[in-house]
Amino acid sequence: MLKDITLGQYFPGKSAVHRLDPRVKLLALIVYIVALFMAGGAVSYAIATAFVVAAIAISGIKPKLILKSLKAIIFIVLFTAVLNMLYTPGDVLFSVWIIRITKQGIYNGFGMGLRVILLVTASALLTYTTSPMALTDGLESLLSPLKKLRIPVHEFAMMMTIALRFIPTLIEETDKIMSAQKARGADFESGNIIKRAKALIPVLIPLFVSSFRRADELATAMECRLYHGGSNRTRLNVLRYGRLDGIGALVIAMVCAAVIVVSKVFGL
Amino acid sequence: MTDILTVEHLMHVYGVGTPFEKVAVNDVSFSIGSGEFVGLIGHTGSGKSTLIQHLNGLLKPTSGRILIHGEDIHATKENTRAARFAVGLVFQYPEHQLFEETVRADIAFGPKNMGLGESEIERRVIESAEIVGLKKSDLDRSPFELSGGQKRRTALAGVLAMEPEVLVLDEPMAGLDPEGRRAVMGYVKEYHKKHGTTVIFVTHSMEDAAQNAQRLIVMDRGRVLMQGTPEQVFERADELRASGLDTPQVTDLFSALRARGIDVPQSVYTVEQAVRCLRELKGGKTNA
Ligand SMILES: Nc1ncnc2c1ncn2[C@@H]1O[C@H](COP(=O)(O)OP(=O)(O)OP(=O)(O)O)[C@@H](O)[C@H]1O
Ligand SMILES: [Mg+2]
Repeated sequence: MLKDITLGQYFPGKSAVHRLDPRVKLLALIVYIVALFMAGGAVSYAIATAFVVAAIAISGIKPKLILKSLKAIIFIVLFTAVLNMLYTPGDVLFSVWIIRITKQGIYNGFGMGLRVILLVTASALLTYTTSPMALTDGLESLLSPLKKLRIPVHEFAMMMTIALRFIPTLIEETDKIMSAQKARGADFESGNIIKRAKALIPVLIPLFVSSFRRADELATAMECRLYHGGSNRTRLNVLRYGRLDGIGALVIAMVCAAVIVVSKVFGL
Repeated sequence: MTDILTVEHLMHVYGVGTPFEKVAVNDVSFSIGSGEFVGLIGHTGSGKSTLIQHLNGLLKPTSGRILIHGEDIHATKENTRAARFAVGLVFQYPEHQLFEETVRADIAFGPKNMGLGESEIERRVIESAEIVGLKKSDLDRSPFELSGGQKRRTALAGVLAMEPEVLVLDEPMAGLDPEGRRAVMGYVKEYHKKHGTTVIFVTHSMEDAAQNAQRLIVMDRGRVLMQGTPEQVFERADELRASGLDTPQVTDLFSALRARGIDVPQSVYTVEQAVRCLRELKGGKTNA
């Protein structure tokens, strides 16, 4: 049920993808997304797809898990693909009533669908192979130039760490409370929308109560350990670029460059 | 005594197909007789909570069956729904599930879901509140302004009010002081006597298990390690310790006495037995 939500979850491992510096992975994702939206021809799409498939293979993450996370967005993919198919002008292949399907439309539809799929797969791969701590450390490090502009980067990263840290806890808690209320005969699965929404009250109220309690406890615990924000704090695990990161960055840069060049220069 | 509940070769695996795959319950079989008072013990993570969530159909077995009155609870949807009400499950820290505006309404949640009439609900609320020692004036307070112990009692009453045939409690006394522990066990026992309800309770306290259960089921790493009367179970103290469990302190004391060559029986597990034993021993000596 709720436990099946794997998006944003971390699956520990020792593969090269896991060991890559989180900053490299974050930047790689951004560059990859840019390349993805500049891709235009079949060849450039093929390179972009091959790259993600190779990354999954190296990471050792089971393809089944990736497919599972894609299941959640199947609707968005279809919606994007169909919209593009219907609204792209060009050579009409056939038309029914006010619907006109063009050659360019079909092509665009497939392209957009593929882009969304690759985008989600690449993001999922990032969270699957990077621990939440590493992810926020990486983010804080990447955003640290903004500290000069007096933007509270550390606090922002801390908030994100805590939020990420508590997602599984909240899911578990929700599961527990739902079980407890089901044991008292609560029914979450039948009835119309209003009835179902009402059925959630016995879950949401205890969930809020416990979230506030948890927040309170966490704040106390942090204060007891003299946490006082970002200034002068040092870290146990300092992020350092290594050989693997150099190689990784190079490979990713080449692939993304290839995608852009192939589509923009050669038009393939 | 007829069997009310039968577990047949139950197996449960969490997270099938993920790297976190975990066999929590492995080939577990046992029967519970109608009106029995059974204790379920086992080390942390031995699968007790997982097991009991199968008894009312909250979790679905990976393989194996659960029978109530000889009927598979997953055979039809009606059977599953019936199992929900036949087996009342009180979770660990049940006070975290309170949500209504008043104690009265919270206790009434279960009976209401059963589709009972107003007057029947009212009767059950009053009766179960009384059994767990809640005052009449507490019924109209918000459950969130009660003390921890009172919250626990409210949650317990919420399940008792459903008058299940089998009452299953997951560590009902966790986090309570000795007085509170005795009280909660007392309510459950009283309810058991009054309604003839079958009771299964999970506990980490060997003293509680020894004192209250007619029969014990011991879990170890997802399997049933042993089952039998407290006497039979605590006789095998070494096996219990090997599985990471304790024995009641008096049993330990008597083991130590035996180790020193004093002739006392092995299977002493309550203070009352111990007192009787020592009296006999002393009596024998003065007479000689
Ligand atoms: N929702 C879950 N998802 C995955 N694994 C779980 C889940 N719940 C329990 N487990 C695992 O199954 C095993 C059995 O857990 P269970 O909660 O049944 O043990 P327990 O005997 O009740 O322990 P305790 O005495 O600590 O309450 C444990 O190893 C636990 O990590
Ligand atoms: Mg448990």
